[in-house]
Amino acid sequence: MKKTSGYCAAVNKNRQNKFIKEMKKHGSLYLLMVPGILYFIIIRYLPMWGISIAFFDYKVWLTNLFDNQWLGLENFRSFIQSPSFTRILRNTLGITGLKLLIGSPFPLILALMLNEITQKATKRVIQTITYLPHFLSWVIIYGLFFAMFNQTYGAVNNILVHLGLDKIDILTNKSFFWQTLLASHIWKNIGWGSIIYLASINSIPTNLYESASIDGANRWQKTCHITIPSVLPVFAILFILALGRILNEDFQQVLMFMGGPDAVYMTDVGEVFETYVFRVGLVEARYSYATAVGIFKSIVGLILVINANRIAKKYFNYRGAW
Amino acid sequence: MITNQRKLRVSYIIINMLLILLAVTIVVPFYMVILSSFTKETDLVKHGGMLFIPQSITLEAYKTVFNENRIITAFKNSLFITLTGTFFHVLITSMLAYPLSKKLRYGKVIGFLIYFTMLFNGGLIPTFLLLKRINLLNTLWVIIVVGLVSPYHMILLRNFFAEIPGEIEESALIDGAGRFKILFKMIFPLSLPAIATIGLFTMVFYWNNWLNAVFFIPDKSKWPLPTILMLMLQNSLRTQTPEDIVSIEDMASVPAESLKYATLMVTTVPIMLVYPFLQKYFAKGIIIGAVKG
Repeated sequence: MKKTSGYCAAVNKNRQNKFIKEMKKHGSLYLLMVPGILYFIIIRYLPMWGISIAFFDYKVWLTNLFDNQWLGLENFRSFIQSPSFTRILRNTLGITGLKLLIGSPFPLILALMLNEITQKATKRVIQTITYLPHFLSWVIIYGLFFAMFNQTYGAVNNILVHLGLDKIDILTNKSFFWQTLLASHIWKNIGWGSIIYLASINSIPTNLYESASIDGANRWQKTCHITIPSVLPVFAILFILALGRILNEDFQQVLMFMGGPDAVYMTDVGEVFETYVFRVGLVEARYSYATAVGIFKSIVGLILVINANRIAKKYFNYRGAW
Repeated sequence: MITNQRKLRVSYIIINMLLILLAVTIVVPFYMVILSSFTKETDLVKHGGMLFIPQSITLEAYKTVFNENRIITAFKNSLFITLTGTFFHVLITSMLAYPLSKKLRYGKVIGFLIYFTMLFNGGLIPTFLLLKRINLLNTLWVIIVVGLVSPYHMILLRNFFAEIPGEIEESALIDGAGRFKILFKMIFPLSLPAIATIGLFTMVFYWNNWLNAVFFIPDKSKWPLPTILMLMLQNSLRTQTPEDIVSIEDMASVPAESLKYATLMVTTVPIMLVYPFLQKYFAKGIIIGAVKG
């Protein structure tokens, strides 16, 4: 007994010494980090402790947490058993699945097309225009969308009326909602997404093309046999990483296209995890329940992301952000 | 061989046309919104809505926008959030990234704990309750504070700083310069492209930030511009009548429809102004390098 405690004390002492030594040597560097570290502790890590309210019937925050009634996994159970759960899961997987399967080839196709353009000026103009929407918020994009498609003054409906056709309702029509999200997603991200493919096309060694030319290959053959095979691994990595984020629906987009935070036109087809947490948590102030919903999503999401990263690393030599 | 040549020519033309079509879908909505914002409301109504050919050019809508207190306040709020936020973001993120680019005993642990917040977070409700607890709710600062450091920007900067050879600093250290001074007098000028990229991205992030105001600022007079724009759009969608927006009293003869588009333009133009600089820097590959890993 005595021996082990002595050993522990020695280890502690040793650690303390190392800490002091490190601080003496690099103290000023650590001092620089103080504001940033404080930010992470307060704004990012304290809320992680706050998720414990999901297991209580929340009334008092943090310090007096245990004065609240213990509920255990009750909130999680009632969420999973509620009709909202199936609806949210269906919408989330439906919308992200659609974007993933139909949307993700678009930036690749744009990059391949841009690569075929030989006039530098044209290429630059197209790039400048298509990169722009990435920097606009969903509010601005929805504003443009509203201007184009609203019932009273929308440009598209205006044209339809002039042609003697009926007006169409896209803004508040449930049956168009997923398609609208997909189309605006592609519109916003196609240019920005193509940058990475263009970069990997540029990194293909030129002697591959040269020797292909000597063998008599034309432009089309070179694209099919050199360019596309070289960028496919990048596509595969991005696809797998996107699979890992399949629960992370683009919150701002969905909320805006549903008609704004107060609107409830399209909750049937548009309710996803985040919009539900927002509505139940902040609007209805059911803090414990909403937190449970959030944790459920975060934990399933974390497992998916870690696995996606692992697969990308194992099979496609992805190095990861870390 | 000739047919092959022709096939290639045809496919080249098709590719060009598709690209132009894509560009058109982006340019035309902007063109129509800009045009409508400069058009008299009566002309808009007469022609049944959005225009493609200019009818009457007037600054009426913009005059109204810049006379509407609520929009001026929102503009000022946005400006404050963007400028103050970007300053502190760049300052604190680089003060975190610089030490982590050195070999420190606890550097790996701190770095991982920062990276971990990209994978997992407490979520909306605990964050909301915390901000309420520390009395940040209902202030402009709440938007600044929530986005104060980005782990992603931190990693970008750290990687950039790590490339700078250490010998440069050593002589300064021997001369007795502090780390703070070295960071801002030596490292900053050397990493200007990286700092500028992050600064510009942060500016766009803060300017576009509308959702945090919905979450954390109940008082609408403290809302930034995009959130006010969201409110206008939400209201006009709800009624589908143009009279519903903002305050009707001081806008008896106001171009309601064109006012909406004028506000949209006022929200968009600042981004368009920084966009050329953004493009200059992200083209340099700093962001791409990070995306590639």
